[in-house]
Amino acid sequence: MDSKYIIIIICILLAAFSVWWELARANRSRLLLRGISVLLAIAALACIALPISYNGDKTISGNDAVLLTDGFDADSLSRFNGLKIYTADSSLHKKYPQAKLISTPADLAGTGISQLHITGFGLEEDELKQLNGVPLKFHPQSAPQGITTISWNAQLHEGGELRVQGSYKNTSAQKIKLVLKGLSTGLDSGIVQPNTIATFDLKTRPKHIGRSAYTLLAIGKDTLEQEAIPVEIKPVKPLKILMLASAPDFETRFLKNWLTQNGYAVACRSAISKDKFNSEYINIDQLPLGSISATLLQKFDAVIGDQATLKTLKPVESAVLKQEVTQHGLGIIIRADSAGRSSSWLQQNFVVEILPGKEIATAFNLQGSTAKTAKLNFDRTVLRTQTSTQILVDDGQAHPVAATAIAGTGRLVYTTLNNTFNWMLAGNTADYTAYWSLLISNAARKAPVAQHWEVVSPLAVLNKPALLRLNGTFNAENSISINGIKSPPRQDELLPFEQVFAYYPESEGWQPATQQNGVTQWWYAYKKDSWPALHAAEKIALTNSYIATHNNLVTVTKQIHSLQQIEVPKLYFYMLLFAACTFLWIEQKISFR
Amino acid sequence: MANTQGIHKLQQVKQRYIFYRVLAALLLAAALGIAVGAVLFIVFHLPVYSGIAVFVVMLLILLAISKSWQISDANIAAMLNSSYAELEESAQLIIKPINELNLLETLQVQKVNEILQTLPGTPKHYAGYLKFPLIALLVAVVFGAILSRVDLSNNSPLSAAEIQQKKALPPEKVLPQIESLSISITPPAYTHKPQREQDRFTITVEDGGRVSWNIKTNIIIKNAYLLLNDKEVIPLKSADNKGWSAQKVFNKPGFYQVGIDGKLSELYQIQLIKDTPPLIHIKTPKPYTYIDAGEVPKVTVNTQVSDDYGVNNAFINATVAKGKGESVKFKEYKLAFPTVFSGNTKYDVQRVIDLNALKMEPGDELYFYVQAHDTHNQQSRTDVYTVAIQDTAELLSMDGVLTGANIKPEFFRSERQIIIDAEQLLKEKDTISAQRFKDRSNDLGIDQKLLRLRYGKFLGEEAENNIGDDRFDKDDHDHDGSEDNGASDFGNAQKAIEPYSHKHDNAEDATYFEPAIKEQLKATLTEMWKAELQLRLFKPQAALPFAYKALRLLKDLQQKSRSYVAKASYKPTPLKWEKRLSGELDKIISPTDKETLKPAADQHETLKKAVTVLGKLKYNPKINDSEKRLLQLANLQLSQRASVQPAAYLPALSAMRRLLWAGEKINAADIGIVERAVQKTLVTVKAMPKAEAAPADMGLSADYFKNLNR
Repeated sequence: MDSKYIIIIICILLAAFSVWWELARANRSRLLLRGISVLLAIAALACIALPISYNGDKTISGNDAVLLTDGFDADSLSRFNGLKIYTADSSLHKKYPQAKLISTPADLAGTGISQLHITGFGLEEDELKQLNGVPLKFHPQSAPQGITTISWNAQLHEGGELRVQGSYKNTSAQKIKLVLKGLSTGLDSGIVQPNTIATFDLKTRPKHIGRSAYTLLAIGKDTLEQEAIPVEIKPVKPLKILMLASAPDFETRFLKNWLTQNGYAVACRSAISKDKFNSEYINIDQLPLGSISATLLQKFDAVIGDQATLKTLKPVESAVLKQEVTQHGLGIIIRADSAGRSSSWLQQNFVVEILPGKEIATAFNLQGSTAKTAKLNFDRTVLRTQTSTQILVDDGQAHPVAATAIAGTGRLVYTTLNNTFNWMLAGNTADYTAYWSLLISNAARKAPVAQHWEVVSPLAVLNKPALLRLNGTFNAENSISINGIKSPPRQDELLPFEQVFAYYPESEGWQPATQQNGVTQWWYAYKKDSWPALHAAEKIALTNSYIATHNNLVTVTKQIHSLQQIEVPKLYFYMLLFAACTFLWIEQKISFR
Repeated sequence: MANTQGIHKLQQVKQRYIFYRVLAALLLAAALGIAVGAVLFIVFHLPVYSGIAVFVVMLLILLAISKSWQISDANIAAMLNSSYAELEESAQLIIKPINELNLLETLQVQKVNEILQTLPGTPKHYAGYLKFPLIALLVAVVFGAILSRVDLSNNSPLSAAEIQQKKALPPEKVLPQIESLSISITPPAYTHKPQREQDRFTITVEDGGRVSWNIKTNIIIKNAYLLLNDKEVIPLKSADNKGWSAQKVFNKPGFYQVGIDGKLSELYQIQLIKDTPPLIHIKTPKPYTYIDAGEVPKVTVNTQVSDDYGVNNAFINATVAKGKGESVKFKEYKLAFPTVFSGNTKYDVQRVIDLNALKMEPGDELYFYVQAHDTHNQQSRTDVYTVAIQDTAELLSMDGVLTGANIKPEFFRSERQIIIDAEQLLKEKDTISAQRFKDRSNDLGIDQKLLRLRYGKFLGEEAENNIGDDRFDKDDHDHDGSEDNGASDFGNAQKAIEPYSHKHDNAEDATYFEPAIKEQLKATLTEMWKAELQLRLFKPQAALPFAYKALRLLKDLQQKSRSYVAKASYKPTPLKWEKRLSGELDKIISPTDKETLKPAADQHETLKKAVTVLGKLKYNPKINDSEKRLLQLANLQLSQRASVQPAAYLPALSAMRRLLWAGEKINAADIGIVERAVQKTLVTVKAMPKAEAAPADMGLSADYFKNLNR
């Protein structure tokens, strides 16, 4: 108390003396400003020496508690002065020993905590569930630098493209280079500018088959993050194709040769006269191709035919074909040979038009490919754009050249190009392959599978539960064994064919899961500290949404408002003193000149 | 007496002076020696003696310049006078013979003698002589020191290169039994290179070179051999079971191992330096040369021939094509260059081909290429170059003019006439007088001018002096007399006004020709201009090329103006639709064809599959037998590749072998090396058509679809 008054008296004396000194000064310009500055400086000095506080509202009550989670900032804990601090993580306890270590967050439930402040990145869902009933308030840290989202096609077929997409949060002041490495070779890279959150899209075409863990590297001055991108590449299973032609032509011949040389099964029927056909069977048993029957069509995955043939089918054959497409998922590729609209079910969705102008060498855009094809003479026959069709190939000016439409369970693919064999003649197998692969893959009948396998938790981490889902006929006996440990299935309540297995991986890398029928599926387990930024971002989002959906009603009513003395930070007074002194110094410099 | 004392003192001062001067020269020479020597030694890498040589030379030069020992006593006396006021400008009296002194001087000498004894032997300013040399020496030393420091950084790229070289030659692991190794490589004769020795197993040898190994072992061993490309065994022979030798000529790259008593060393690489075929660059002429009529029928072939080891021979292979159509005849010539090829690596050769000497006539063509052989007897040749001589016979013929749509024949005759006249003039040159020759040449020039003006009209050009100048018109009429309409135009006011009106871009002129034709007409006029110039300069020979060019352009113009008549159309007999496709077909069978095509075996299949095993090795060194088998197959593939490209694949092959034999101590770097090689070897597979998988949902979606359709 005494010191307070002494300070005030000293300051008043100082102020009086200073003001007198100012008045006595010979140079009387800016006297008022100088006077004010001197008084302000002295007042600021006094305030620095004296504790200044005001009465304010504070929402933190004595019964609140703080729970530290991974990523908390020790400096920001000062606002929770006087509150009990807990943590369920022993590593955090070592870092901040004042916190009380609890075994699980469940220990805090039912202890009468009025509000639990969670700092850091938040909790996992099961941990949040353990805090049932405790009003929660989340003070999230922003996610650290690193990869915050990631996605890639982990299973692909030979020749397919691996695309790794995601976003990177760069909080540093330097550029970050993201590199996709496979087989110890850099395959693609991208740059993230300083202080940005940027998306990236890295692509490569794996050349091998089987399993391989590619790596995604974030490189600043040195490697900041290195994550595995596990990929499994399966060989392509050849399809069975039926080709119908109204006359022997080059397009059919080249297509047949190309397919069969790659091991595909092709039966080809080309009309040579009225009701006379030339039949060819390559890599397939000899079947009667004279008339189209359901049993014949069931043996094929797709039918490729020119419009003339499909139009002149007998009514019975046409009906069988329609039935097979709409009910059993067969696909047809129709090669247009004339313009106009037709009422036939095959052509309902496709209207052929001829654009004005001469035949011109055109490069085409294929769906899903960024590069254009080599040029091909194009007679400017195009399809009309329709909402019911999906464009597969266009001529570079948004005129569809090939498109697909759904017909029941099957698909119709319609193309106006009849001279793609010219690519093959020019030795351009790449464009030919890309074009026909696109068309046939779209048309091919879906391969029936007995079981479908997926990993529910894609970034499974060591010693944390990894959920694996198997779709197929459920059988209670149907357990799988992972690394020799049997795991029983848990059937979904609503979808009887879904069954989930849980497993705690013990070693990193590929994990074999062997089903009872002997089929082994592979999945990947990560090290504990992999994907740090991603897991942090995930936890923050999870905690926020959990609190938003479960916990909001309790917090408001139980909050206790209390009147408290809040000290004004001294920083403001230092700034005031500094400003006043600066003015006085400058004023003196100016007046001396 | 007293005088001798003074002289003695003076001599002392003189000797000291000489000493200081020589010392200064010595120091300065040393300074220069150090500075220049440092530069020579550090920058130009000359030996240290160069610095000493500089010092000696500089010293001699400095001494020769100063010649300080030749200083006279009088000069010393003068110097003493100027330095010491107390001598009263009388020091020179001491050296004067006594008998020449007068009374006053004798007195003064005595006084000076006394004063001289009190003076120091070394005047103060002598030290000043050393000031500059000392500073120079100091600067030189500092300069040398800095240079030696700078030199380190200067030298660092060089030493870095050396380090890199050392890196490129990594230490080889050698079997412990081997004490020393000497490999001598004898390059083949065509390289002109001497035999060389090395003590490393990794070999780089010229194609066809002989390698002989001499290996000394530190203990007596039973047998030793070299295993080449995993297949071929070269036995090493020895007389005393300690010194082993073998030799082999290499025509293919590959790798080898040394085997001693059944134990194999690591893989060593054999790289082959292939001899490249000679490189020929024809600088002149251009691939297609056209010799216009009137031009000199000579072609200069200017060629550069180079090879990595040496050029043995080079020549021109020329073919002359004579005649036209079916009667074309070819004759071949082999033309040598006037240079002796003695196996140097580079030659600039030149040869003038005289087309007349090859008996070529207008319309003939010459095809030639240059062929070269190197010392390895590899040959290479250039593309075929063509030289054609313009066929004037065709140009001068009236064929096209007489038969086609003859639109304006009189213009063409004129240019042709000028050419014919010019050629006639050239023929008669020797028989007529010089004045007459000049007159006729000038006349031809005038004709050429008139012709040019006539064509200029088509382009809407104005002749420079034809407005109101009747003579011009008259001249024109005289020339060919075709435009004779003076009488019919009598009283035509328009005609009378015309010469005085200044009409630009007459509508008729503007639409007369297409722009392309106008363009060609302009080009024709340019050629005519040039021809006229030469004719007026009395050089009909020089005018001929331009005249021919103009004629050719005109001829083209004439061809263009021909009209095109389409063929008459053909009307087929109409089809009888009822008969169409109604033939009997029962004898026609339906052909069937059945075959089975196996897709070509994928040569990279084992490597593709090995990737999975390599990936597994990274975190689990235990692999089962089938996986090991896969790696062994992949090893075989890599070995095949390494025998073709050892530089690219040998490290990977060695790494693969280490992986195979390492057991559980696997080096992650080795996996990386093998993986990179696999990635390099595999080719990108194109995506083939594939079927998507249907959902495994126990028919739920199918049921849904069925109910939706109901």
